[in-house]
Amino acid sequence: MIPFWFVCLVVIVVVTIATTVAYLVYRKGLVLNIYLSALPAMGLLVVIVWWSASNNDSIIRFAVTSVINTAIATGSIIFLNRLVIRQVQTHVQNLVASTAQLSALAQQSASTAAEQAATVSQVTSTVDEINQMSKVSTSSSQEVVQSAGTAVDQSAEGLETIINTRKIMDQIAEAGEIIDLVNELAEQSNLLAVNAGIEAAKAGDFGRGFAVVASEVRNLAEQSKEAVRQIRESIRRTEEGKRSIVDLEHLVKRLSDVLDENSEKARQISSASVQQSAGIKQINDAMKNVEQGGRDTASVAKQIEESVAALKDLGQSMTRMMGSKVTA
Amino acid sequence: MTLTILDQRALSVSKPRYQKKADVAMRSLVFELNSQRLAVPVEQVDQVIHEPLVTPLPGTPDFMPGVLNKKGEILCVVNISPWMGAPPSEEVAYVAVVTYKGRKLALAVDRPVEFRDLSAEELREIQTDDDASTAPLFLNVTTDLVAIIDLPTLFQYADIRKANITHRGVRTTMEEIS
Repeated sequence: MIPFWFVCLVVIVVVTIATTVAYLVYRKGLVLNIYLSALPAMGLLVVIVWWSASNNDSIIRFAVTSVINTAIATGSIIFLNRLVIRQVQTHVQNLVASTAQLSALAQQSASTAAEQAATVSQVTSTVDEINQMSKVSTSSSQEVVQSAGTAVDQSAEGLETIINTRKIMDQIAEAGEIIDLVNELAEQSNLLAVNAGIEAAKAGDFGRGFAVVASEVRNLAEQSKEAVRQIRESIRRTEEGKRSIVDLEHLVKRLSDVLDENSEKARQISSASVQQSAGIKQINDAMKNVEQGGRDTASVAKQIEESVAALKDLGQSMTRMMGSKVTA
Repeated sequence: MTLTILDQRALSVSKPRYQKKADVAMRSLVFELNSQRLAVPVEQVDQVIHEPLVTPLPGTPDFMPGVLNKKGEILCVVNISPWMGAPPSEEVAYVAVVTYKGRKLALAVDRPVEFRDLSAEELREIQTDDDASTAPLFLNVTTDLVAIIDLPTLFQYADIRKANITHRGVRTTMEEIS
């Protein structure tokens, strides 16, 4: 029969070893509660063994068997816990590393979003300026359209005036035929005056009065011829002016055609300018939306960064809780 | 004194404008031919005709572009341009019908210019060589270079019967032909 004191000694040794292992495991950061919870059970077991030893030897065998089984179970639990904790530590380390990368990406994204927002803001400002310039251009093109229309109207009026002037000059040229008739009459009058003067000269002193009349008639004929000559000169100048007027008429017609084309092109430019202004306004609105989206993206990136930081802190906390010296 | 002036003025005003000046030697008709001014005594001019219908005749001398019919009277048209050293113009603008001793001829001119009273003071004789075989056509010339045609000489030169003509390729006169 095994003495009781030996049984007690064995139990004490086993409990001591188990406690030591538990302490070592605790130092390694493993689960403490398991051993802490095992200590009352072992104490209860010692009481039971002590009570059994005082009554029956089979109790001692039961106690030894229980102690051995408890030790084996405790070792298995400790081993499994150790294995699980190692895996958790690995995952937590991966998580911390991932959060670091995620944090860097979030920061980069936030920075990119901020730069994008700044760029978009500049583009929006430029588009605003372009929009203002487009409005000014539209207004100017409309003024050009009005001016071109006025020029076309004035050109048409000028052309009409030129045509009327040319018609008047044609009538003046027709008057040249009448001038030829007047010149012929003046020639005949001159000839009659000459012949009258000859007859007066033949009449001697009796014809001297008639000679004076003939001389005056001849002077009138000469004055008529001189007037005809001056009128012919005026008509000749009018003919030259008519040629210039005809050239001017052709020139004004070409000018009028060019003004018509310019007016049409000005209208097209004005229409295109209006469409351009509308397009720029749409671009401006779109850029504002993009700018707002960039700001939202930056805000979201900031939130992601904060969330990642919190996740990183959580991972580090878990690492510390598990007693690991894992660093991010 | 005052009355004398007024009398003189009254006489001057009442004086006929056509009163012949005492120093007028000749009243002439001045006309233009080849840019030269010529004159004939107006008493010897019968009529001036504008653009007469001149009928050319074959075998006539150069100075005679043809004949014209003046109220049934056939007149020789004489152009003195060849005697002035200029070619005769083909068209006759005016003719002055001149008379001398009952004979008439139509003197071709470019245009009549004026009637002019020529004084003896402004008439200059034309100097000719003593050896000249023919008499000069121009009798006098005025100080402003109006040449006075000597009508007897003109009629002598323009006598077609004595003028040199070409008949059957032979240089002859109408008198010799007849």
